[in-house]
Amino acid sequence: MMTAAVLEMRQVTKIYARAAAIEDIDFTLLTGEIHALLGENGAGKSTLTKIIAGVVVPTSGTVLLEGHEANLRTPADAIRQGIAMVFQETSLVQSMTVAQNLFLGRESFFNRNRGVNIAAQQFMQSLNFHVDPTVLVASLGAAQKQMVEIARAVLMRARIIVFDEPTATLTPEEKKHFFYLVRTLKSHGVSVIFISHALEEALLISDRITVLRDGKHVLTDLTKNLDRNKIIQAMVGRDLSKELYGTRKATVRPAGKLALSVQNLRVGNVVKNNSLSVFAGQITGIFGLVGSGRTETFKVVSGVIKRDYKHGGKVLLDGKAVRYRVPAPGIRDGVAYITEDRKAEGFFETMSIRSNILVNKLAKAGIAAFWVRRREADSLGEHWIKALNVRAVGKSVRVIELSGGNQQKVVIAKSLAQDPNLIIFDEPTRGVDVGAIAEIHQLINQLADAGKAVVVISSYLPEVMALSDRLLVARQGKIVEEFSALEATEEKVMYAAVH
Amino acid sequence: MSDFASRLKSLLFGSRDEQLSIPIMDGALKPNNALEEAPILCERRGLEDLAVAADGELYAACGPTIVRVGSDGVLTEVARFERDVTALAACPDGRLAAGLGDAIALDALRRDGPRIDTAAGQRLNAVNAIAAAPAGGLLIADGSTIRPYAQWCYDLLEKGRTGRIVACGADGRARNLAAGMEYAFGVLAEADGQALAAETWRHQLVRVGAGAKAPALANIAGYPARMTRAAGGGFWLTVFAARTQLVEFVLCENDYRRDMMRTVEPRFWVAPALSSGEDFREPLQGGSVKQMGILKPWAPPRSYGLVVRVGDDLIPKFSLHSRVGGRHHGVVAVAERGDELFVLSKGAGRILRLSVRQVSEGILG
Repeated sequence: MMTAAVLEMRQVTKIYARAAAIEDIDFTLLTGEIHALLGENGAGKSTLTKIIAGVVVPTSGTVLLEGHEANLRTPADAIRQGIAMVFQETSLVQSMTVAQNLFLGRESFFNRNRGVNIAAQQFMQSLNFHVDPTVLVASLGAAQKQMVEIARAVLMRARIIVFDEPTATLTPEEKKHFFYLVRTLKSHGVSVIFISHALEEALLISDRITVLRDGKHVLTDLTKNLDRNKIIQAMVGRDLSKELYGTRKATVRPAGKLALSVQNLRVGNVVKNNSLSVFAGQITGIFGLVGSGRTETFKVVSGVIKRDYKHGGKVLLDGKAVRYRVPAPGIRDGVAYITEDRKAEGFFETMSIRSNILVNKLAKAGIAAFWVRRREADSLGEHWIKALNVRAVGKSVRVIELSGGNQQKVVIAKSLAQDPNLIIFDEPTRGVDVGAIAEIHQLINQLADAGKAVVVISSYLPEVMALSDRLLVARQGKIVEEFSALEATEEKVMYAAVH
Repeated sequence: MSDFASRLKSLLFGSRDEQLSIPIMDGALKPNNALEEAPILCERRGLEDLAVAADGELYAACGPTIVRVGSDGVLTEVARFERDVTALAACPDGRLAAGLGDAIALDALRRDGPRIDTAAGQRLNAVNAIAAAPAGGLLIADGSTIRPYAQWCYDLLEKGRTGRIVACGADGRARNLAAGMEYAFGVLAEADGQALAAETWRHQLVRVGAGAKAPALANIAGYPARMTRAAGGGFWLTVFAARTQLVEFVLCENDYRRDMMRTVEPRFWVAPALSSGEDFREPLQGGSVKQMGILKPWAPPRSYGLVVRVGDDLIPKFSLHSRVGGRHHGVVAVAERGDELFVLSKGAGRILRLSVRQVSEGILG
């Protein structure tokens, strides 16, 4: 029954350092509804949900819970009033077991491990989650950690649960199960706020959708009244449907010189006798399911990981055999690998944008750049902030304070500052909003037009098909099929990836 | 790392893994069935080379004869020699030059035409390609100075490096453009007095001139052979067999290779071939190439058919294939006449006729 409002926010504003993160937002969450909250990175979704979860106190405005003004000054206040938040990066204690994490903060005075384990086991079973409560959280995969987070929220008997990008790390099967769980919560009268960059998921699961842009409320409507294009238009203020994954390619860029030849490459059990070529002036798309060895192949090419010592195959860069043990010589040879895991491998999060870019520039220049003038470093940072349209309060802002899309732009800027000839993008738009996706796609195309050899590894098929001039499909550790963009269809590519 | 240091390291630690790696056929070399499905113009055992004369007639070397190939595929003998013709070239003045292994007939259609058997102070031995050079001269690919042309496979397995490219001027004076090549097969004149030649055992095209040689197109996925200029710029390159890891392995195993050459009949050697599938004793039969009784198109090829269209910038544009399960293998010659493209499959003993426009549109889209 979606009648009464469980949560109401009226004219809520939050100002950080004289800049408004959200401004005069009105938001209503009904009892037992699934409400998708959408917007570009930096639109204000996180601030809004943090206010709901008591992490952030609003500068002005009121928050009402079931018609009464709520005092949400700390997360504990929110939890007491039945509001739980499941974060994108799990907040679990890695060194404790699943059961201990579930009951953390709710332990009884005489606590028995066995009792906790049994209670956790029963509770997990009731949710149909197959996670052993006695194992350490550190040993769990991303999807299982997500399940524990969800279970903890349910255990708190929350009336409102906020999910921030809950499906980003889940496999299709796990997503299906997650949606089933969310619907079950809904049937029990729990209200869910669902934040996602995957618009299809929002359209699939939500009852209503709210779109924020630049900290302002743009749209709230029933999901059945909306479609993908309307949402994108509301999110970015213009129609991006063609810019993103629009029409099929009518022409492809001709292949230039052979930039990279991978021959019979082997890396443990992940990459098995893999061979492929990459040509200058083209975008070579690599599609494959998780575990197909795509990322590992290109990590070997760039020196992030090593191939097998014996029977490891050969990598030729511009006709020269190379065997990088670390990335530095690869960078000097003009190879840039833009990682899929930007938070762990992409940048120094507490350093400024300028410093991050400078670090990579120094890595390329080596000892020759022992002495760098501050003015040069500043202009380098400014150049790339401008070139990639990185939206930040200033160039000295720490990267951790940027939105996902802008963080990704910084990672790209770091690599492009090295003036590479072979640029490998691994999941370039993962966790990035649609506006930034269009900008990143445009940049990738510009690089290929400039004659660079570009590789785009993506598990999102429409993306890889929209970008690629030629498309290689990886399966079980090797490239199994090659398509020109002119002949590739989703069915053909998926068939090659699966069969 | 210097060549010496590299060799020393290989000697001490072994680098066979890298030697066993072979390039993949993708991009412009992505396999198709264009050669296999091409119309057959004519069929005869012993076909070796093609040339389009200045008057537009198509000639073919076939065994000890030169034949004129009619538009209807009828072959008319126009010259006969005491031994097999191993190369054929049309000169701008209307003459045909024919390689006869260890000699060259400079005017092949004349019974008593002039011949040369020595060039740059060395006897010719395995003439396998001739090309007209600017100012009336000839460029000659002398594959090996040790093994005759018919024994090219011996030269590969003995790791021969005695091939040379000879420039023969109109005045009869000759000079080596390059020597010590790991089999010279195919030569093409370049505008600046240099020549482009196939160094077959090293799987590369080299630019040669004045005794120097520099790689022009390296890491070819097969064994490059003769080349022909294309009307639209660039050239057609024939590749008579594809590389396999098995052959690379055998080339690394010196004892095995010597034993094999001593004890096994040459046509059953683990080595590239111009045709295959004719005898159960051939290597790479059974499980390696067949699955459920069907020949796997991706199986390691013992023989293969491949023609590559290479641009002026030495970048392959597209290619025509006869895959492992096909018949039109061992392609060693190609000739272009207007929109017609003639491809000679020595393995099948056939000349195929294709439309240049259709194949380029069909493959490039």
